[in-house]
Amino acid sequence: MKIVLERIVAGHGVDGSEREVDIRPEADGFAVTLDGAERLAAGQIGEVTRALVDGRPVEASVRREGDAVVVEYHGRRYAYRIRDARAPKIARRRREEEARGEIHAPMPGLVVEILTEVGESVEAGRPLVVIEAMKMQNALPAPLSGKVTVVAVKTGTAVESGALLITVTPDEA
Amino acid sequence: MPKPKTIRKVLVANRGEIAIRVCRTLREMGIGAVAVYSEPDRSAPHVYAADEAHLLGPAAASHSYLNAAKILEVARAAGADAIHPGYGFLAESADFAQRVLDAGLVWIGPSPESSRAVGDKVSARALAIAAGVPVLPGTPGPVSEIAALKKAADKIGYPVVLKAAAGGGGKGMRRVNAPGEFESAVRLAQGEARGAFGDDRLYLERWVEQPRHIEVQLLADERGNIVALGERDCSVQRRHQKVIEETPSPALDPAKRRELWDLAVKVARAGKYTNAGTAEFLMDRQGRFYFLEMNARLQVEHPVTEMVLGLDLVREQIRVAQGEPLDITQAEVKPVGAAMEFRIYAEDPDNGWLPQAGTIRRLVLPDGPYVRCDFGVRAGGEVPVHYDPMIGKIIVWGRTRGEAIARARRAIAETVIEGTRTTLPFHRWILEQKEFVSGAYDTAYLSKHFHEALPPDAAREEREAAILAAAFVAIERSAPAAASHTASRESGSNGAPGAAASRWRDAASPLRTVPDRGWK
Repeated sequence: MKIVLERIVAGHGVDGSEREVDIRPEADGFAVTLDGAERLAAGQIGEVTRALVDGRPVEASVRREGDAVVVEYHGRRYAYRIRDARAPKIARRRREEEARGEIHAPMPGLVVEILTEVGESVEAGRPLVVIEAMKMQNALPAPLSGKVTVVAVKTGTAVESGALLITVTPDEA
Repeated sequence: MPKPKTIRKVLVANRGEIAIRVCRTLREMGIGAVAVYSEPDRSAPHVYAADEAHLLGPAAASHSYLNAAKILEVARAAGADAIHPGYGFLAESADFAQRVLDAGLVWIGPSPESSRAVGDKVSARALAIAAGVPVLPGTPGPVSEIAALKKAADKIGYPVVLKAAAGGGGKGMRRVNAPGEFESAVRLAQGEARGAFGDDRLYLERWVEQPRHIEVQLLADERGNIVALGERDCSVQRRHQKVIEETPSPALDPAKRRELWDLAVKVARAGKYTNAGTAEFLMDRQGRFYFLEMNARLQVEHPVTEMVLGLDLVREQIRVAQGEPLDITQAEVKPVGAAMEFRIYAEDPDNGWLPQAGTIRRLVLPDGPYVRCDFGVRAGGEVPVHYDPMIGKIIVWGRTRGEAIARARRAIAETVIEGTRTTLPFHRWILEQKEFVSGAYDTAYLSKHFHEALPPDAAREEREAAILAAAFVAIERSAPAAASHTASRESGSNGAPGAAASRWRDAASPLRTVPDRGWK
């Protein structure tokens, strides 16, 4: 199966780094293709997940937290949001939305904070609205630099997945 | 000459790793150990390191570990004949030491008189000047008026550093580069000092560019014998707080080392110092020493000294407190090899060293040759928000500094602490930095060079984490029950690998009661 791992960085939502992973059963574990190479992983999951990754022993704690999978490994924390790679339409739609400067709700949730107002000039990447879903708060960043022209929701609004939240209109070049 | 008294039972007026460390020596010496604890520490490891334990009160230190009256009451009720204060809390309170003596108990620490003489930075400074030990040019005492401070600064020359008279741990310290910044800097420093210590008096000193912070361990008996037990280099600091200490200092040659030890002994002699203590110095880039202050207690970093001398400093403290003479002479102080201590704080080094409270889900401490772990927490235990976020220390020894560094890398890599962020990734980072490895670092090093605790093989580790995450999802999708101990939802097929869950054994399933047979 093909999935996409989006790395979540604490407090900043999805940081944009994402990679496609192909995973299929192989021998006693999985063959995992990512970053252009196939790697074999086999082991056990549990409170401690232990696996040999291409023969290298890896001990970590892997668990689900809300809609993220969290890996604690060597004192660092890696959180990923998982998406099916089979949904290229969604990915394409999202890219198009971003190009238009629109922020849409990535999932059903509650608007807990609006960090901007109509007329404000913002830099790309600056968090503009915070959505809470499954007890996780996600700050959604401005897709591009420009002026905020639409704030379609209020604090406390419950939104459906895909609902338009904010539009940033790029500055005239 | 004081008559020797025999200590049979000691109340350890502290918590965490240092309380456990003191209890260990007490047990080795056949002396009874009495632990005290606050309400949130009811099940803390230090409680179980002692022979008996007594509740002090609620979480707030003022109601528990700083509650002098209650501690004395417990000591009396438990029949303790001595109190060891550890470090922090009441360790440097001359008043508490006096109350302990007045209650007819032995105080395992410097006498109240010597503690007062060196206790605050200002009197210690006067003492050093009188003893002919160099100090940084500065105000002779604490000053409250901005005008007087300004006059002193203009005379000394910029940059200067403002320090809280009642300060410690870097709080209330502020550098002033030019006369124009002076007033606002004073107001900020006063505010910090008032907030932290309830005392906004400041003094100021000349700023030393990129100094090294080197301290000397001292031990003195009640008969006037004083020895310097070597130095510790504590120049790896963040916000004026130590994170790594080592001995010997890589910055000293034998002549400078001898000079520094002698200066430290001079200060201790001038203060009629007894028991264990530490004289702190700055060394500037020209190799000149300036006395900073005396810490009238056992220090966090005392184990590195113990490692190179084969000495138990707590044991020596107890012997001295019993009125016994030192059993080591200066000529016998011959450190062997090199030792380093890595402080593990429940702090996030990638997020402004923000303290982290929470539950330690998993704890694996390093082992093997010449590794020592002094920890105050256990797996499943809490890191309470009420106290210092230092949860333990990893100390290593090697015949050479290079050997110690290699051992440290190995030991830190073996260590697993999950459930709370810690400074472990920071230690992995610094052990790969050429400035640290060569020994050519100073107290400004971290503020200039540390940005993120990236591991030496960051890309590979991140990839391995991603592989585990992907495998987790694959198992979750093929057999939700297999991952259900953490899964909250999720199902579906998506062509998920059917037999994967059976390939990856689920260690969290009821099968876990079966001895671990590996994943096959």
